[in-house]
Formats: sequence, C-alpha cells, structure tokens
Amino acid sequence: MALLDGFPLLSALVWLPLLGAIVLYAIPGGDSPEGQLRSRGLALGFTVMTLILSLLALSRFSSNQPGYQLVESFRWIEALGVRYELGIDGVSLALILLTTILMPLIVLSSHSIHESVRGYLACMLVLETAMLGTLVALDLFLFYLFWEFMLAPMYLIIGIWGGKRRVYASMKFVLYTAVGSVLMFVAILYTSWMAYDQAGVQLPSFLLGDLLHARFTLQEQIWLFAAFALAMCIKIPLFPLHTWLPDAHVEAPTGGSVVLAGVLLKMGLYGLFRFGYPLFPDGAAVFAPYLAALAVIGIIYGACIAWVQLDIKKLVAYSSVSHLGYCVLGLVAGTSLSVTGSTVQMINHGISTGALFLLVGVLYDRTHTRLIADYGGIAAKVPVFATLFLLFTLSSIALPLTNGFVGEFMILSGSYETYPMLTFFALAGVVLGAVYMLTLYMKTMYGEVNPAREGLTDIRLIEAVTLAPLLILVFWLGLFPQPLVDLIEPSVVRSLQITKERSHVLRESELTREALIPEDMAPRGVLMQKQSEYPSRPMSL
Amino acid sequence: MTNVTQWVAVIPTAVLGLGGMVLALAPRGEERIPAFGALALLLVALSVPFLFEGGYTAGVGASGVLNAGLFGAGFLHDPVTWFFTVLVLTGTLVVVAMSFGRLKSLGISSSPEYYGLLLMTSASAIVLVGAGELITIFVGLEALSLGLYCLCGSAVSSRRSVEGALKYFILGSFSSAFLLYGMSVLYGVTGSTELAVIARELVSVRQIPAIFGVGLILVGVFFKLGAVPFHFWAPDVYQGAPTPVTAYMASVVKAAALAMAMRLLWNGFGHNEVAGWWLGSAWTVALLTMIVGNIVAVRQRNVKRMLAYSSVAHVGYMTAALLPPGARAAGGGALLFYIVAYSVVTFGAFAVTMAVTGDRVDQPSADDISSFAGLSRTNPRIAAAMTLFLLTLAGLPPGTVGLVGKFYLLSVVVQSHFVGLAVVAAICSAISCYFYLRVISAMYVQQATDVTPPHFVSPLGTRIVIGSMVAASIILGLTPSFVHNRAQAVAHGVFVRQP
Repeated sequence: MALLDGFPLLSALVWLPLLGAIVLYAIPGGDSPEGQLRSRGLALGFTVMTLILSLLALSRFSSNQPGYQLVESFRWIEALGVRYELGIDGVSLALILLTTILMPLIVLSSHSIHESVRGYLACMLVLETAMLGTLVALDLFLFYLFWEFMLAPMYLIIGIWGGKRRVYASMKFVLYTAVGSVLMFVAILYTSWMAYDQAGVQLPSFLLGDLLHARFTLQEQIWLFAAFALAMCIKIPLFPLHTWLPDAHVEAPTGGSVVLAGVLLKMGLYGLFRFGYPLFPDGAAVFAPYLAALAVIGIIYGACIAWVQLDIKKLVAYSSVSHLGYCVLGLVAGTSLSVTGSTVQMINHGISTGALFLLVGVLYDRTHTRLIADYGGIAAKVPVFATLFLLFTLSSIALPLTNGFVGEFMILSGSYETYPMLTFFALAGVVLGAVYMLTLYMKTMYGEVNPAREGLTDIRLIEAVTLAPLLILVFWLGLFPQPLVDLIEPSVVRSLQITKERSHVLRESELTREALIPEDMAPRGVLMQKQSEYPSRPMSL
Repeated sequence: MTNVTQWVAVIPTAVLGLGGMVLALAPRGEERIPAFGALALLLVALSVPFLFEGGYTAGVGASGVLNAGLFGAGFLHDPVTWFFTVLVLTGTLVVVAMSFGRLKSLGISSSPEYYGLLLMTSASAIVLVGAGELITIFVGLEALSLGLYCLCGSAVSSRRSVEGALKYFILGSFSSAFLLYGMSVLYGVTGSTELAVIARELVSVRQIPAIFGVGLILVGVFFKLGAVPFHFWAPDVYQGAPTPVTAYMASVVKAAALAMAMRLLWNGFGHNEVAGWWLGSAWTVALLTMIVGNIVAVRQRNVKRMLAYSSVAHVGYMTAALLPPGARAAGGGALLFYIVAYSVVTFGAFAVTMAVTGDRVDQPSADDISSFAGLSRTNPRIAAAMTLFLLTLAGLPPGTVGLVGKFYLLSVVVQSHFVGLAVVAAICSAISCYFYLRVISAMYVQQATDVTPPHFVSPLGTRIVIGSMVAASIILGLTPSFVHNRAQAVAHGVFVRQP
C-alpha cells in the first residue's frame, strides 16, 4: 500500500464523520421529504466510508509489531506542550471497528425518526467523530477533549429525540458524566505537571509515552487513579454509579441506545485500560479488589433488577450493567487472558446488546409500547422477528457457538487466578442472565396471544438488512474468535507488561527507569525539543 | 526617555475621549451619525497600537525593566497596556455594532449621548489598564465607573434600568471610598503613590497599617471584578442595564478591572512577603466566588441574571489564577487568554439574548428562559450559535476555547500546588453544565411557547456580532497558541519581574 504512505489515515477516520455532518447542513432544503431521504443517504455514505477507512487501518495494522501504529503527531498548543497525537493498538482498533460497524446500522435504523432527521444524523456523525477521537488519542489533553466532546451530541440525541422523560434523562446523563470527568481533568493536569517537574525538561507534555516516565508516590497514585477511575466508572457504569444508565437508555431513541450501549459505555473501560492502569499501577492495585467486588455486585445486582423489569428496554439496560460488570472484573483481574477476554466481551456486548436494542426499537415502532405485559405469543405472528430475537438473546446469555460465550469464558477463566471467590459469585450472573433473558423471551414470544397484537407485522427488509451484519458477527466471532483475540492479545500483553514494570519502578527504586521502559514507548524526541519560549520554571509556594 | 514614539500609547485615549465629547453633541434623532462616528473613531484608535507597536515596548529596557512610564509613572506604556488597549477597543467596537439599530427597542432615546458616553468610558478604561500609580488608577476607575452608571441608566423609560444604575452607583461609591481610603493609608505608610516604589517600600514598613491599606484596596478591586462577597450588585445591574451595556460590563470593564488587579496585586503587592498578607483572603474569595456564582446561577430563570452569576463564577476561576506568586508569567498568560475567550463568548451570548428579546424589553418575560423555548425551530441558526456559546462557557467541546481557557487557568493553579482550589473549580464547572444546558434544553427540547419569538431577522450589526463571535470562538479553540503566545509574552515582560 505504498500509495497510502504518509496519508493521515487516523485523522481522516476521525474527522470524516464531522465533515459528513457539515455537508448535511451545507446542502439546503434538508428538512423537506426528499431532503430527509438525501440526508439519510449522505449519512449512510459517510459512515460506510468511515467503515472502509477503519478496514484500511486494519489492513495496515500488524498486531505483532509492538507499540502504537499509524501514529500522527503534531504540535498543537505549544506553551503547554499539548500535541495532536493519534495512534492505535489492537485494543483501540477492535473498538474502532465496533464503532464504525455499528454507525451505518444506526443510520439505517433512523427511519423511525420523523422529526428533523437531518439534525439527528448530524448529531450521530459528530458523536462518531468524538468516539473515534477518544479511541485514537494518545495525548491526554486530546483524549479529554474528545471524551467531553461525546457529551454534547449524546445530550441532544436523548434530549431532542427521546421519550417522555427525556429532559430529565439527558440532564442526568450529562451531569453524572461531567462530574466524573472534571476531576479527571484536574488529575490530568497534575499528572502532566509532576512529570514535567521530575523530568527537568523545557516543555511540559501530555503524551502518554512521556507521562509513563513519571514517578508518583503511592499517595499520589491513589488520588490520581481515584480521579481517573471515578470518571471511567461513571461511564462504564459500575455499580453503584449506574443509576443514570437505565434512564438514559429508556428515554433515548433506538439509535441512541445502540450507540450508548454499543460504544459509549466501553469508553470507560478503554480509558482505564489505556491510561488509568499503566499510569498509576500501584494506585490501581490498591483499588483493584474493591473494583472487582463492585463489578461482581454489579453483575448479580444488574441481573436481579433486570429480572423484575416490566419494560423491555429497561431490562436490556440493566443487563448492560450486568454484562459490563464482567468486563470490569476481567480488566481488574489483570491476567492477559482476563483482560483480553474483557476486550472481546466489550465487542460482543456491543454487537448483541446493540442488536437487542434495535429489535426492541422494531417492536416499539409498531406498537408504541415497551411493556412486557403488552406482548405475548407474538412468535407466531412474526416468525422472522422471533427467530432473530432468539438468536441475539442466546448471544446475550453467552451460549457456546455465539460470540458472547467466548468473552465470558475468557474473563471467568482468567479472573479465577486472581479472584477465585469473586469469580465464583460472578458465575451466578451467567445463570441469572439466562433466567431473565429467557423469561423475557418466553413472556413476549410465547404463551397467550395478546389480542392487541393481532395485527403485528413481521420485520421489514430494511430492518433485516440492519440486523444481518450483526447476526453474521455473532456467529463469526462465536465460531472463529481467534482473529479477534490475535488482534487484541499482543497489545494487552504489552500494556500489562508496562503496568507491571512501572509498578516495579515505583517499588524498587534501585532500577533505573529508562532501562525498564520499552524502546517504542520512549518519547519521540518531543521532550528534547527546546524551541519553546516557556518562561523560567515557576517556583512553588 | 525623550523618545517621541512612546507617547503614541496615549493617542487611543485622547481620540476616544475627545471624539466622544464631540459625538455627544451630535444632533439627536439620526442614529447613524453618532454610530458611524463612533465606529470611525474606534478604528482610528485601534490602528494606533497596531501601527506603532514599538511605542508600547519602548518603555521596556534591555533588562526587561520598565522605565518610569509617562506622566511620572502615571501611565505605563508597556506590552500589557498594548494588549488591554486592543482588547478594550475591539470590545467597544463590538458593543457599538451590537447597539446599532437597536437603541430604540432598548429604550435609549438619545443616541449621541449613548455613543459618546461609550467612547469616553472606554477612554477611561484604557487609562485604568495602563495606570501604574494610585491616583491614576483611582481617576481611571472613577471615570470608568461614572460612564458606566450613566450607560446602565441610559434606558430612561425602563424602571429596571434606572434601578440598576442607582444600585450600581451607590454600591460603587462605597467601594470607591474603600479603595481611596486604602490608597491614602498606603501613601501614608510608604510615602509614594507609585506602584513600583510602593512595592519596594512595603517590605520594610510597619505591617499593621500596610496590611490594612492593602486589604481596603483589595475590597475595591474585588468589587469591580464582581467577586463574592462583593458581587451583590452584579445580577440586578446586569439585568437592568440595556443588553449591549451588560455585555460591555461583562467583557471590557471586567478586562480593565482584571488589568488593574494584576498590576496592583502583582506589581504593587507582589513581593513574596507582601503576597502572604493577601493570599489567604484572596484564596477564600476565589473559592467563594466559584461556589456561590455557580450555585446561585442554577436558580435563575432570567437568562441575563444567569449570565451575570455565570460571570461571577468565571471571575472566581480567574481569581484563582491571580494567586500563585511563583507563576505570574504563566498565570498572566492564562488570564489574558481567558479574558479574551470569555469576552468573545459573552458578547455572543448577550447578542443572542438581545436578538431573542427584540422589542419586548419591558415585558415581564423579557430575557426569560421561556422565551428561548423552541427557538431551534423558529430560528435554528441563532439557536445553534447560542448553543456554541453556552457550551463554551460550560467548557464542553465543541466549545473548545472554553475548555482550553480553563485548561490554561487550572494548569497554573495546579502547578502552584493549589490543587484543592483546582478541584473545587472543576466541580463547580460541572455544576455549571446544568444551567447552561438548561437554556440549550429549552431551545431544542421544549416546544415553542407564546413568548417564543417567531422567525426574526436581527439588525445587521447584531448578525455581524453573532457571526463573528462564532467564528472567533471556533478559531480561538482550534489555534489557541496564536493568542496565548502573545498573552504569555506580554505577561512575561511585565509581571515576571519581582519588585
């Protein structure tokens, strides 16, 4: 691919959707019926083009090569050493692919949106830029920028196109996430400043690679990790910080729920994996048992609450709390198997829960109710729908041969080494997961036919087309998970190695730091540049 | 010292002051004449700092030490004066553009006096930002305040406007008295009104009266900035004043007060020992200002009052960056950038508020959040612009410049080990998301009500202001270094020197 050498692939990937949003608004008359159709077409085109770019990135990525790849790096805010630096490893690439695969499907599902379709699609495209940016940013400030950038479009998506309590739900979503994030902001500033203070260089830096050289006392690490973890755990959301999630999911339009469950929730886990753990390994070690315990509580609690829900969407939302608990458990268990499994599970959850939300949307479009009691016996009326619903349900409860099984199995077997008791309890969640999902299936699809549902029509072609790629992925990843694992695992192993070595750095000060940082993680000469006119280093009080 | 070019720093003040007097005498009735006159005078004044930039650096010697300044250190022609002169003039230009074609609907009957006063007030603001000596500071501040009292009450038919002006006048007089008393005490102790001399003398004089004097001056400074607990005038005055005047107060006047605060606190009372006297109380003021500003803003239903409390809150963040004794170059750079960024979005937000209120200034629902309900459907572009401004104020992307500004400020605060203050600032800015987003929520989520204006086309001036503020905030957000490097260089030249 010599043709593409020097082409800023990641920048193109990140900014293309935003360009799409601008194009949508640049063409006049977008709110007429023809304009709406054209907007959908354009948005689909841009998301598919983004998907193609991400596949291109996949083709140019080699998982054996260590470090970040396809790196782009420019100075941005000089005086404070902020750089526009993008790069990917296997974990971020997997999540990028999940994002770019889900987005065209969300655009396809936008036929249920009737009011100002153009605005909805533009918000989705802006959100895609924000999400992709979060996944590729290697500079902490840039990461934070994209991280916060996800809020505004999601706020509008829930607020404008949501259900009855959308004002409440959207505000709750923003306030919860904002409170977590701002503390992370201060932590980022502190981290960078301490690194600058120690390194004795001219420019401060926010680059992950540079910050990995900084040493923090245990006390500092505990506070800094707590600030990062709070932001991330609200996003995930970890029990007991999850209360915004059911509201947001229930009120969000179908596409909003899909992107929320599919991608946004994963950002918290990604942030912990990419920044929280490598930067503050000892702080993380202090919190790990508590996080694991909360994760297991979340698994069981989420499952129990899901079991008693009357609203299908709320049930799926609580099932997310339960499933994300597995991901957290896998991540904090810290073995390469469990962390890889956690990442695989993130992808799988995005696929199966995304599909379930799409299916709930299909039902809601027809009947305008989401109450389980309003359904019953509809399998005979809508056989194709019922089959699809069954397949995704099975994927969600992690039946072998579906994708869900792979991730859960890896997490549980990997975590057993670290937390045998907690893993034992987490197993209960697997059973409970089957109970609530199959109960849901039974109550809605079988039994007495609800007379109100007599005229229910089966799934339409466009809806089938939307779900087909996800169905293929369910079985593909269920039968052949190895390519995905191969993509993710080397990056996970490396990240764990850095985490481990850095915690050594802190404990055994006789070892020099430089010797322990792998070569490709060393700063790329950024810190050595002295062209800044940054004033003499300020004294502290 | 005989260099002629250094006197150019006085030209903008002279042009505006004299021109403003002439303008005020123009015949009433035709708004165009004074407005275009003001525009022309401002452009002439604005060309001076750009054409004769050397005149503002002539005062800085090779060692970075300032010479005595003009008028016996009364007016310092240093880079900081350059920066604030440009800011004040540009800001006034924006206010003129905002006011043009609007005066009738704002209830201002006499356009020549309005524009004349505006220019004279800006002339005093430039005197204030360059003042390096207590008497000049006081004269500049008083002239500025007098102009403002009149401008606030210029909508003579509106009770709110007159009430606000009177409140501002009475409270402002009190604060001036404090300031003047403090200055006299300081003069008594140090024997000089020159900041540079005071800075040298303060270290060795008797502490009790000196602390007393510094404290009284601080009260006056914090009153002008609108910091808690001296902020009580802000909401009433902001709400009552005609909206362009409110925008003027929130940006230009705030910038001038900030310049005064920086010169007094850093150049006057900046010595490490002396800073210890006021650091604690200023820390408390910063903390209270952030908390009270943000929390009280949550309760506001009137958008102008909300923006008033929001400006109190932003003063809190800025005060936090005034503290660090060791990081004044970085702190100065951050503050100058922040005031620029804040002014841009504040102009934008007030211009939108004015456009939405339109002719209904005297109705009870004027500037109420309910008149923004459903605005995205009747006036999608205005709503989109307002969204950008509010997100910027909240520090949420795509309002990147707000986030970058906070980033500069808080990094200075964190670097100086005021981590607690930074954490409080961060939590407060999360709270602020609520009241900024509530307006966005009204515009996009709620249905239009009977007080929502139908589709309207604002006067050209308002449209230009809104459009250029959108452009400015986007450009500043993407390339902040362009302004920040300048700001940092300016601050470095003036504030980094220990007296």
